[in-house]
Amino acid sequence: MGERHARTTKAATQGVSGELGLLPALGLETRKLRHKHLLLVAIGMLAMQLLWLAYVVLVHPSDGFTDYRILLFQIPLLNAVFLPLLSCVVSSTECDVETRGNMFKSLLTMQRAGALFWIKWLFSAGLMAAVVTLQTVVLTILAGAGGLDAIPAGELVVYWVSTFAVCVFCTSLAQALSLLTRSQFAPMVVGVALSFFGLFSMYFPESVTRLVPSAYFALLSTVEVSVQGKTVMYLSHPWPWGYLVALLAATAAVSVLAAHAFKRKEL
Amino acid sequence: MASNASEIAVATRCLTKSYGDETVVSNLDMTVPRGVVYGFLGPNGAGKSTTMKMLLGLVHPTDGQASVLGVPMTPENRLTVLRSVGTLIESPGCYPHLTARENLEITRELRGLPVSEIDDVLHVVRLDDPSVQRKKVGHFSLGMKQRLGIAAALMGKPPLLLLDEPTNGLDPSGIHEIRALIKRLPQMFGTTVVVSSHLLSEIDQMADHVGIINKGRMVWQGSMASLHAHGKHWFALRTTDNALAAQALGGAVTDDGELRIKAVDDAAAGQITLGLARQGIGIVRLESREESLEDIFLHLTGMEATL
Repeated sequence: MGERHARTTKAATQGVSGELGLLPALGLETRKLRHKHLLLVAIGMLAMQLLWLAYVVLVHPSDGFTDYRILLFQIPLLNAVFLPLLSCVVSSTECDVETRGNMFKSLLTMQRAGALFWIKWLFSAGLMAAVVTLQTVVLTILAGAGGLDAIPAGELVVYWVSTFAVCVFCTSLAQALSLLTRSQFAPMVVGVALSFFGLFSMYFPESVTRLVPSAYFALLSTVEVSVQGKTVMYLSHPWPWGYLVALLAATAAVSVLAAHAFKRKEL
Repeated sequence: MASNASEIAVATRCLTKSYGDETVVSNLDMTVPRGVVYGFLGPNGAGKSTTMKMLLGLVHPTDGQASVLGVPMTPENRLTVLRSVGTLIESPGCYPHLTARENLEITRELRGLPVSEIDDVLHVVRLDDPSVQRKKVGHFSLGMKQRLGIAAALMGKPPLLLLDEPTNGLDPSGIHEIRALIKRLPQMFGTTVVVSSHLLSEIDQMADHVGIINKGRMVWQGSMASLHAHGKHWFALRTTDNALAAQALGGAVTDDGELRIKAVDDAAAGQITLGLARQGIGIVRLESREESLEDIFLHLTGMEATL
């Protein structure tokens, strides 16, 4: 059986306490999700969104219409439906692999609870960053394919930051619920509820809309629509970054409180 | 607690855990010598799992202290100490959607061990058959999952193993297999094994030392041999005339057609038989009896019910 108490700690990947470094820990989370097809689910949801947009832009183009803002107006509506659900699926799946296999008692003899919490948080955030990036790239391709003006880089950056911020709030909320209630039912219900209310809150006054996290996809948009008779015009307005600050503060509060509760939780 | 630390694998002093007004572990002093199988015995709800979780830092003690492998456990050094401890608490943890090897790969990476460790432990717990290795753990029987849990605990051949009810839910052959494996570990790797169970026979068959916990308190601790010696001894005597024999042997108690007399040495036993024979009483049977382990346990824990 080889030498007893073998301890060939890899200095490159592990710290003094023996805990994994950031990249190996993220790699480990990826391996835990092997056979879970999470990427496929994400790509499937993205494909549905983009098919809808392609229908709007490519199948029913208006003559001489080249305003790229049609895309930036449509996509937050679709995001409000799809991305909260996808964020909750990603986060709850990431936590469910531990809960379902009763792994926490074993893992927390090898990893600090805080480290495990933040690695999972980073993993979910990273996956959503990849989804939003892919979505942004496809948006630019769609604009080109539909004969629209190219989306300015600044607008793309604003879109990316806004969308990613809302996704991270959703993943943080889902992770908090998954780890603290140990039930995957709660985050999934929240995901569905966020999708539902995110869409319908847009028909409510802004004071109500501000209370619904998933409505921030639209609240953070820089494009609005003006309908005058049969004429539909897309207008730009300054980025309402105050909403972003509020959302980031809420995300930080949810995450830090959940991490603290998870660290103190006895198994 | 640290005076003979090199000889002691686990020591606790006044370890206590309370939830509100309820104290589930109370002033527990536990001493586990190195290189033994230590049976941690107690009825369900006695505080065995809570004690083991406190040793691992998964539950925070209300009071008291614990040292593991000679090192006092603190929140700061907990993970460093636990790198030398293999654990299986309550039920085996696993990723059911992964294979046994993929599961162990995760433990290996977290512990920073060489890849060869996986093959070693799979061989020890007999999960190295190629057909088994292709299976997802979700399709394993409970016995196979327990063996995988033990394999994960054995990764790196830690000097200390904490196994909480490792035979729970197993069929008789599975129990036999796990028991044999646990008994082999001190010889194979010099491992100290702390194994908890509510089954007296389990502990009797695999442990060298035993700690008996009841209602959160350690009621007895020592070697199995001294536990057996702790029980009462007596002679059971059946004669051709028990009534007359009882008169002749002052202090004999009649019990179910037998006479019970105090256990004596061989010379005194010879005198008794000769004395009875002189009075014309034939001795049909004379046996040395001792309290069963179950009786000792029930006596120590004050429990009437069978475990």
